[in-house]
Amino acid sequence: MAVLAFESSAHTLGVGIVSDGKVLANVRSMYPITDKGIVPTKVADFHSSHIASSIRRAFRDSGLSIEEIDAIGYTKGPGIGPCLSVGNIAARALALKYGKPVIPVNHSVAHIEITKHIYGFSDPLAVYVSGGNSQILGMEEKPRHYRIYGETLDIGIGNMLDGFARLAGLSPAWGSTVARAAEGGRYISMPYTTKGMDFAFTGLLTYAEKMLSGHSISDVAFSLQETAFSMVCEAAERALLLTGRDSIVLSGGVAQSSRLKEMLSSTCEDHGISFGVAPNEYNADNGAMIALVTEKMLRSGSRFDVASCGVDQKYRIDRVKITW
Amino acid sequence: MVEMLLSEGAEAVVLKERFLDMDAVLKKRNPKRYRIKQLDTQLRLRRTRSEARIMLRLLRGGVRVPRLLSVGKYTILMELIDGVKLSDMQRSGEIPASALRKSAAELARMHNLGVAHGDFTPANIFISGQEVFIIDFGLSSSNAISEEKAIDLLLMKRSIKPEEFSKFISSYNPQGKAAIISKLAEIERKGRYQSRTIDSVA
Repeated sequence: MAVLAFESSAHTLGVGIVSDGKVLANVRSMYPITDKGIVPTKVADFHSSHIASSIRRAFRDSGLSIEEIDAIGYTKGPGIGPCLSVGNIAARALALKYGKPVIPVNHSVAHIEITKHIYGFSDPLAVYVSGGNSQILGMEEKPRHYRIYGETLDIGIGNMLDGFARLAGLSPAWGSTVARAAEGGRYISMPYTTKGMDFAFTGLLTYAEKMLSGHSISDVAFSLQETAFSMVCEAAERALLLTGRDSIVLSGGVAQSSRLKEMLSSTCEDHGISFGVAPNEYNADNGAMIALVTEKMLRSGSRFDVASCGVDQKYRIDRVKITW
Repeated sequence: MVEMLLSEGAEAVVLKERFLDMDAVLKKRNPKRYRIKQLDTQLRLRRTRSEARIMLRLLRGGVRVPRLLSVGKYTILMELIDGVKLSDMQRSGEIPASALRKSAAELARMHNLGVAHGDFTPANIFISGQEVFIIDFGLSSSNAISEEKAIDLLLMKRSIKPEEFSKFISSYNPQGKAAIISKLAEIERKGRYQSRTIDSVA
């Protein structure tokens, strides 16, 4: 069995091919982000102009042809509407032209599933941190779905870090730039907002903005990062103790942070449980993870009418029935 | 001294201890390796102080909470409540109406003192003889606004049966009850608290 899938929920266009759980192609192109952040229609144009060449490259990398593909998947959401539409249209067009089933995939599920797949964990606690999402989750039965134990009450942690980078004039404006700026920084006390297993970031961002006058960027970046990551770790540890699992996976764009990996893996060590975080190419948005879930859905018998396959910008993970 | 671990939470461990000639409970905020030292000590110190202050305020205001025996930098030693958790009662059947009424009365008293519990679930309510005790003020806030009080109700509502909650709410009569109840309805309208329909797969 082999499947082709598209990821286009935000700034990255991904085309993946997976066969029997093995990644054969993972082609990624990223819209160049300037200090203005993401302009949805411009990103959608970028994706449209890159998708044909990305598909050709994915087939070249995999050595497969469209005839050998059993289904075509795409990211249904959550994400940015115009961007999602590019993957959706490509998937439906190919499905109709070649008579293949089309499979809509939840982006958040895919991030978690690929990490589970790499480590072979069956029922981990999932810490999912990206630009727009920050959630602590785990699988629950009847019906089988991901339950959100805790989540951000306002913005995603990645958007908070990107927002800070822009305010501080760091370029390119994203988390890894903040991480570099944080090196050698000293701690300034900042608002630490957790409510049980939930957390919030806007107050922290506003405070960090104020601290930029009177403190070095390095000190502010360091304190912001330490505070935000500690909040996530505390919420994760609380969920771990309440739900009693034997492993944690860290997934999503912000899972590329080496500091966050270090913090969460030390928590796992202290509790004697396993820790899994995928290589960066699978934590950044990518088509391979969408293809992986497409194949799981196809195998478990999920079928969709092409005409009813749309996009949903706010497609929450806890609405997805897990069929495998 | 022999210590016995009663429970382990994300920010504290709870140990059973002997204090003078009585059984006592020690809540201890241990360092967390994931946090840098300055942030870690600051949080543990601030939370221990805030929890002890809130317990003291509740004790003075007549709310049934464990009595404080001694407060250290990162530790609170308190009286051991000898009783049954409401959550254990729940597992073995119905919660008696009297327990619901008394829990609601304690919550109302707490809210009148400006304190929101922050984790008001059956696991933090003890029934000891004819009395009800509220424990664990690690997530509590003083000078609470009506939204925080409404969250206490929401957590309880989501932890017990609808008919049990209607008994509970009829005995919950704090100042400003109407405002808190309407806040509860407002929170429940938010997406994350609505019951979800899981997508069916054809």
